[in-house]
Amino acid sequence: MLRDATIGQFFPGDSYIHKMDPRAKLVFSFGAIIAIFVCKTFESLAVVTLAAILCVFVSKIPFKTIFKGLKAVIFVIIITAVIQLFYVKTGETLVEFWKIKITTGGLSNSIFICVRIIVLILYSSLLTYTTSPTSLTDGMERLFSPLKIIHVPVGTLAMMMTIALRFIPTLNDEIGKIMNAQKARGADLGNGSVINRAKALIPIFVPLFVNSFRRAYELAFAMECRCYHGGEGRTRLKIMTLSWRDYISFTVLAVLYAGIIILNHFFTHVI
Amino acid sequence: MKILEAENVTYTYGAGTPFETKALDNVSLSIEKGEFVGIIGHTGSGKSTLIQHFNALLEPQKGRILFNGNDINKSKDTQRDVRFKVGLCFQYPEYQLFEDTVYKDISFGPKNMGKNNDEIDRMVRSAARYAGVKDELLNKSPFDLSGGEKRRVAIAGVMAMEPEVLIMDEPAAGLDPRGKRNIFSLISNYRKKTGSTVIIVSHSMEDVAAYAERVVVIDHGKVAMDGDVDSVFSQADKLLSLGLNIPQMTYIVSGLIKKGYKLNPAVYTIEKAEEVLFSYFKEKGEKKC
Repeated sequence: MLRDATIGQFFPGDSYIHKMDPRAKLVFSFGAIIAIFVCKTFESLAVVTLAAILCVFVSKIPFKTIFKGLKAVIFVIIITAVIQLFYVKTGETLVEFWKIKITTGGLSNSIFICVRIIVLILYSSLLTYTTSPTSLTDGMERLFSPLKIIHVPVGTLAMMMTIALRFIPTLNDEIGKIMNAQKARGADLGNGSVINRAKALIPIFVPLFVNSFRRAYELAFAMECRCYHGGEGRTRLKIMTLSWRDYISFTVLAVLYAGIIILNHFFTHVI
Repeated sequence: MKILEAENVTYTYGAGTPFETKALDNVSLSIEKGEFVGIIGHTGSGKSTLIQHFNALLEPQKGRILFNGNDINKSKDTQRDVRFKVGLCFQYPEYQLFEDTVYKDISFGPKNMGKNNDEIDRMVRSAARYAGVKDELLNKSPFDLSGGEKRRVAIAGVMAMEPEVLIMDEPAAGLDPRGKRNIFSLISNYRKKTGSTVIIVSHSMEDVAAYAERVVVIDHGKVAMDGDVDSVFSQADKLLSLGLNIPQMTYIVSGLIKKGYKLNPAVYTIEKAEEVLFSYFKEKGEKKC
């Protein structure tokens, strides 16, 4: 269930990637994710995949945890693969029965897309695994700060994100507690017809919402007591600076793009 | 007669992850019918994990839980059935209220038991009486009540199932002294009138000493001490070494014993301390004469 999903969790550490500037990490992972979609051949995709695996090694996050994160989206991957397999009808026919026809084009397409999704998740989860939510939102705030010129409340948005991320584990805990309390009173969760199942959610969601509003009030009070008045003019405890690590990551990204473009040019396109 | 038994129960959270913790380690414990048991232990000792085993919210990874001699985890049906027979009231139960009236909220348990309307009405009203919920509150919204009233409504919600065993996790947490006394007196009144077995989890030694007959101390997922109130609280040093507090009066008396006064160590209320000290000085006085 929810508890087993590791996507979005933060694993503290002191690897090369952990020490990078959050802005550089954001730029690198977004760059790499775009790179996945620039790939048109298996060769270039292999390069991006290898780079992702290398990054995981450098981050010292065990592969086991990463695979656990993948488990949560396995359905999405399987469904996409199956759809690709049946709907792309280019190349030679491999199998044909009744209305279903599987072709080489469909097969290579579905493998290609599977790998794409997996690598995409690798890059994005690597970002959240190695960056604490606060430094992640800090990094975003700084990256988007030019938008302040057109009156986008970047600081407020970043604070909202920090608060949202902060409360995910709290609410997760609370759902568990409320579910147990209602089960102890004989609530039957996840059994019966769709309507019964939907009804069974009421005893869980009503207390959850009531408690969330209570928490929101308390937090708002606490923030006002500390004179929070929006992001305007706030200074920072930790000032972000780009270091050699970040410049190396930019270089790696540039080399990655160059490799992809060259490989795309010389090999046969899959998509 | 044994009503609840834990046989060599072991439970580990997050097995196979770096966050692995052994919450229960080969725990065996039996509760007699009609007993008033206090389970104490500091935070993270495994006491909450243990009580969640008693009504099949958690299944033991090793060992068995028996209710009246039957394994409660035999099937989904026995698991659901035992939840009506072993009523579990969690810490801060007021955060589980969800219905638009107090009456409906208390009736949630009986409704799940599949009782008819007359039965439900009887169960709700008697539970409300036991929990000290006044009749005029029954048609109010539970969200309009005060904290103490909400707590009592939530407790009534568990009592309404008329369980044979009532387990309460920190029933008085966060209440003022009067609210605390209130809750405990209604629990002991409930037990007297219905004759049901009551288990209270707490880290307030005073409360446990004042109301329970038997005390079970859990430490690091094991039963560290088990016995009647006198025998457990007389071992003040052991309790302190387990990171637990002892009742203030017990602390004072054990200090006096160390100073050479020959006193009965089983003291945990002011009244008992007064009695012990008076009889000690009387005896001493008589010897002098």
